[in-house]
Amino acid sequence: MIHLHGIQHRILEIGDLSIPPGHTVVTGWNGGGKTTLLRLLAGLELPKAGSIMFEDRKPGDTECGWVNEFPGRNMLFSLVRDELSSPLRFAHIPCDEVARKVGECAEWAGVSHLLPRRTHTLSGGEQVLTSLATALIGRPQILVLDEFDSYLDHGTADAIDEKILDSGARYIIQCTQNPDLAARADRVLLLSHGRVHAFGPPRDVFSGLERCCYYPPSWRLGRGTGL
Amino acid sequence: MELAFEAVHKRRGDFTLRASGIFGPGVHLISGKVGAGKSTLAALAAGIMAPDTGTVKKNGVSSFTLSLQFPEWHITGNTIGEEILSWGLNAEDVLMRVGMKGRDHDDPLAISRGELKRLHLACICMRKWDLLILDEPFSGLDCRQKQELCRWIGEFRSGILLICTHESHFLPPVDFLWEMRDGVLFALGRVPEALAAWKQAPPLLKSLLCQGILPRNITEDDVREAAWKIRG
Amino acid sequence: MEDPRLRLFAVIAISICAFLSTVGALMTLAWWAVLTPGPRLLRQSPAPLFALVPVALISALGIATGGDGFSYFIRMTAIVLVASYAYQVRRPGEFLQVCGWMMGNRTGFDLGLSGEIGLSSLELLGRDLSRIRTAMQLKGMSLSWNTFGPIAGGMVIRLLSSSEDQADLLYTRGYSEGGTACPRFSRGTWDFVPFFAAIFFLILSFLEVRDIFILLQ
Repeated sequence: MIHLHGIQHRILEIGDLSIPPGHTVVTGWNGGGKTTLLRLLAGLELPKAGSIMFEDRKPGDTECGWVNEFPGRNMLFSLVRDELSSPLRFAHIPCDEVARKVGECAEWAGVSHLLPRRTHTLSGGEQVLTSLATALIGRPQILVLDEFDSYLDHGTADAIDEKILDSGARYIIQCTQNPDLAARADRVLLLSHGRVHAFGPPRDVFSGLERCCYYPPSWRLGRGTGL
Repeated sequence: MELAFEAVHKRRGDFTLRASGIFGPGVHLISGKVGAGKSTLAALAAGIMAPDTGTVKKNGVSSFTLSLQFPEWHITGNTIGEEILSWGLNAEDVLMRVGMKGRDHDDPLAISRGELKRLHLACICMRKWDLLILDEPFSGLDCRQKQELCRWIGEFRSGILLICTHESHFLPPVDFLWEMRDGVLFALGRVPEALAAWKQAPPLLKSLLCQGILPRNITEDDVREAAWKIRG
Repeated sequence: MEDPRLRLFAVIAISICAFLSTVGALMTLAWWAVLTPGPRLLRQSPAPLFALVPVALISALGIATGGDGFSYFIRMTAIVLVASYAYQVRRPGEFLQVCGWMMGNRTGFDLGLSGEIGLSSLELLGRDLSRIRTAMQLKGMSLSWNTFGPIAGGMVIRLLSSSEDQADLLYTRGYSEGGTACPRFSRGTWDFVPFFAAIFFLILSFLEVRDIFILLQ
């Protein structure tokens, strides 16, 4: 369980929040504090007040995969192959194993054909897929994804989503503006002006929001139509 | 007024784009998978990239711009106020419109991507263009902002508007449909007739089309109205 | 030169040669013109020539004040041209590999990683410049003294912000100290020719001009 207690940081004000393992979607209006929360969970910032604990450890003490909301700002190296291999090389894994794992992970993410490419020549979607593969190659316990799906077509996003759920990460914390994706998550955290507006299973969170555009379109249109 | 792609070829590494077609006045939606060439097409249309062979002609177009998929790529000012001014607009008017009043001294790189996209689109929308190319305009926006953008596009009357997107739910009313398939541009025709040939159609729309129901257009309301026909 | 190790040593040797004397600098220019693709690369991308502007100004000042501005100009021109050749032919990742090969997976990797990140920041600066040019074109702006200041300032701010992103990525990817460099090199058939030529010119440049003629006789 991830425990957040008395968090006060920039726009965020969160009293007590416990996030169980599984797939948690963070959603809400632009500027509502989603990225700030995700950065705290990834250990990239320390809260001004309050505490965050991953089971019995602090965020920085746990292996974490991270994808920034700006695709171009996820790139450390000039080559896709170097990008993908970096977490393994930083972990001092032998070269043969690095090469094997990079091949497997690239295949898994559908970016094998991009391995010899320069990172700045990739399209937005390709950059996102590369970042995601890099975030997952070290098999992290926590995966923090900041709106990576907004640069993907629905076919690719759905396929990648299934793979993410199958990645073995214990906690997947994903920010998205796709309500249908939120509807499929284990739980949804709806943030508004830095505060938790609702948190729980999608059915509970969206139950009072039928008139709001956040209500999943597949639920709205699917009911009674078989779509 | 028209934007014409005449036997355009553009090679970028292993990828080759091929495009021929004429974009006349109206709203054109161009869809395609990741890496299919939508952004390359948009860059060629705006003239910020030159084709290897073929020509891109803008006939009767006196003002045009391209909204790049990454809003941060447009930044030339060090504050939000300077950034708005660089578009030749009044900072107060724009900030009022996007609900960011009093933030003209903020660093544009320090605000959230959604806010930056909203600000950038407001700057684009508050000027008049003969040709406007929007590359992934919906990415990073929340549903309320997506609906707002759809409303603005719905009111776009004069000129040529090209929208390159893979948005599935919040789509604006469009006149023409195009598709990029592995680097090749296909003209699907006028909406709604063109919908039947739309391979990249969003899932809900595709389900309707599979059941033989043709919505009037591709907006959320059109899809909902068509779905209700099933319900009876 | 495909092998980055030979290229690195050759560039270091020939740069020392150019620095030592005017004759050495002339030999360096000959090395650059005949044994490297430097002239062709410079025609394709002449941006490094801008680095010669301050060199020319300082040389002119040297000549005007009675100093040895001419020699300075020849030597610095040779060094700038060799440096621009080395920058233009480098391949991503090879600096890390060379450092790892020379100094191992701790110090070598750290040094190589810093070098790679530094080089990508330079590339980023170049791309940022062309991005700003595009943004200005799309906004219908033109470059003037009024716009130059904020744009230059903005580039510095963006470079600083990109180093924050790099720090985030290093942190979340688990970097603490060193790593596996995995050096792997390929060598071209003629790689040794410019390498040995550079070493030979360096040795020659240590000799007096008079000694060279004696040697030739």
